[in-house]
Amino acid sequence: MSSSGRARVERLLELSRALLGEQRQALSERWHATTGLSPEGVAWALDHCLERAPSAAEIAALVATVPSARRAHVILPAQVFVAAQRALALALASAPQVFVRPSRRDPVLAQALAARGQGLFECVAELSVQPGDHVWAYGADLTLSALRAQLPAGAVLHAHGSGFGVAVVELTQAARLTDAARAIAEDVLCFDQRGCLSPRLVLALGQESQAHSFADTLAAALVEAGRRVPRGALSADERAEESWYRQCLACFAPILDSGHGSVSVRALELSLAASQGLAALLLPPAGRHLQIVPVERLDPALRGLERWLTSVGCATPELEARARALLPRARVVPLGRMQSPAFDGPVDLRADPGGELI
Amino acid sequence: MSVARSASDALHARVRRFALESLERKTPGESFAELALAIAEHQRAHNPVLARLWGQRALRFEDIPAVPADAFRLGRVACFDGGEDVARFQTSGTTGGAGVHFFRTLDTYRLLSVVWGRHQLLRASSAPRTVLGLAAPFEPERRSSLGFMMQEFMREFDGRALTGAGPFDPLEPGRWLLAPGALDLEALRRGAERAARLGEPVLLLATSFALSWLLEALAGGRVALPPGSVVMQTGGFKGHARSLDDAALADALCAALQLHRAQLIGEYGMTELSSQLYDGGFAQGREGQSVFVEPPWLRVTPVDPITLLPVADGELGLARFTDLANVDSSLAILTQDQVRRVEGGIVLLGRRSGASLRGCSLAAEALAGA
Repeated sequence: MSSSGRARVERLLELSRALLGEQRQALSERWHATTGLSPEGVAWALDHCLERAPSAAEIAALVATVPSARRAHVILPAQVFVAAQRALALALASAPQVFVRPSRRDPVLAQALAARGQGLFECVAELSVQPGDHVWAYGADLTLSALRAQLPAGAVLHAHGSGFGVAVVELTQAARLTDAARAIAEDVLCFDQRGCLSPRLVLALGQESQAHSFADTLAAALVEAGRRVPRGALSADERAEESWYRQCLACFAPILDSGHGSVSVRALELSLAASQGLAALLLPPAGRHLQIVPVERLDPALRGLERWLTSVGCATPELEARARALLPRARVVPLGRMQSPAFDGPVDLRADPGGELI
Repeated sequence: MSVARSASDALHARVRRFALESLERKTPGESFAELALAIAEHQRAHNPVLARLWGQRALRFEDIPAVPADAFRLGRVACFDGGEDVARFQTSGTTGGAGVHFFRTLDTYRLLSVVWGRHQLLRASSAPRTVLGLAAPFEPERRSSLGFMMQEFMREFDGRALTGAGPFDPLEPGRWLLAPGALDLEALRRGAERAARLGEPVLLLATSFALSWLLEALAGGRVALPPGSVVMQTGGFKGHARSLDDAALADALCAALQLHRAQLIGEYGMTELSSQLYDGGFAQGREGQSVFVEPPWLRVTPVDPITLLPVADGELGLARFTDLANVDSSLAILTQDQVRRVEGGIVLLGRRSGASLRGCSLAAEALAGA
């Protein structure tokens, strides 16, 4: 099964390359319309976040992460338009029969690949899950709970719930901070920070006074990144979320304008998240907003957020090693690479690879 | 006494005077806006949150900044230090931890909740009621603003022992009908019988959740409340919109307690406020709506969720409360509850949709066929 799974994944990647080779312009215009991303934002995501030629080792690793199944179903996310490719690859690696329900808001990539795929997988309006089928779903925790309740007994759910990324820097390493800020800005601008890998917080090892100085550097880097890749349109809900966030934040911290979004520094007790949930922290919403949280020690800060962390971008190899030891189920990468994880499995490694038997 | 404390005391006195004069239909000695500005100036001087929000800009009533309700669980929103706390009312904290509203005096809260409760629940009558709480007793730690208000209603609207001739005891058995895992149906029956014997109505103070529980406990049975009785129903309906489920609950309650819908009065309050709104009975407004009425010292302004500016009359907006009784915290509170201004008050229409964290979220539509 795994060799045929590998063949199906490779076929998908071929299709994707051919599709983008021939229709990139036309598809990009559609993505601009469906995602709200600026044309530059669409181009950036295609160039930096869509896997074009993963190595054989990566593909082998991806295939090895999934259990074999007779049929697989995929409920595609709406927030990250290129995510369809990896989600499809996982399902194809698992099963010869794959049914996909694309997002109604952004069905572009799945439908285009299905049209070229000649039966590789099938786009459907409604999923019909049977006992024994595997279902890959990506979404908010509440939404996944609702899905869990709807699936038949015997189905296997691969649920990838809410998550986000953090960047980690050392404020004492002043010479590296400008580069770190630029790299963080590039991680943030992808999908206008809608993805589950997008950094929302910057954990800054050092003093609060140093953090304020870094906030200026980071805001400048975001302004510069925004000139190259302007933020696209936010939905009415996202704009309301942004207004609420800014009004809440303004009660407790200065807000630096960073062109499209904002940067602020907050002394936060991150361990609160573990006991009270993320809402206790006032996490930045999508739209290129960042909070810098000065921390004395990395371990308790990361552990407090562990449940939600999909990705940790680190300014130095030493920080990477520490983060990797602390969070074996997060993607730990250098800054600037948070949105282009290896094609070796799901982007979100928190879930049990075997899935959850309903 | 510190300058801040004496200034706060003076403002509390002005608010109480304004409230009583307004309810007695006298022309208050100062306008809502004048009093609001005085309170806002006090808050800018003594509450770091308001100082940060408002900065050094000129003071104008229409520019008074609103503190989002979420801020109460993110930090301290108060004009005084923790050493002066006499109560720390907590939000339910179902998501994101509990918010806390700190009080250095409860005198204004007590007076205003009682006079407005009497006005709206008792139609300004001072005749005695048997007041029962379908709720857990107000705890000595003073964490529940609702519990505090219920206790004050028991004291002010009843004020007698339930049995015997002793003095009023807020914790007398039979007054509060909920305990962990238990609903005291017999105490409700005894309270109703006592009221009937005395020829007076019952005021039953309850949450929606507790009323649902009561219906389960009754299992189709009845406890007939005397004529003129009222049930004050608060909370429980998510976002406060009264839905079809609420209508079914209301009708079942009316049948079980022998009431009319007009005797089932909705209360809207929140921990971050010091004042409450009441409707005129279930679905008693125009077109069957439950229209919530503000007291004269509270104003609700529907605002645009993006600009946070007032919307046109009749349009849906987020509820922005300007509560003169919030002397020592924040005069203006912004919520994510959606409201519409209608004749006679506001209609509550649930919380604004939109998740706070949606990384890789599914559109809700995606689940429809799963």
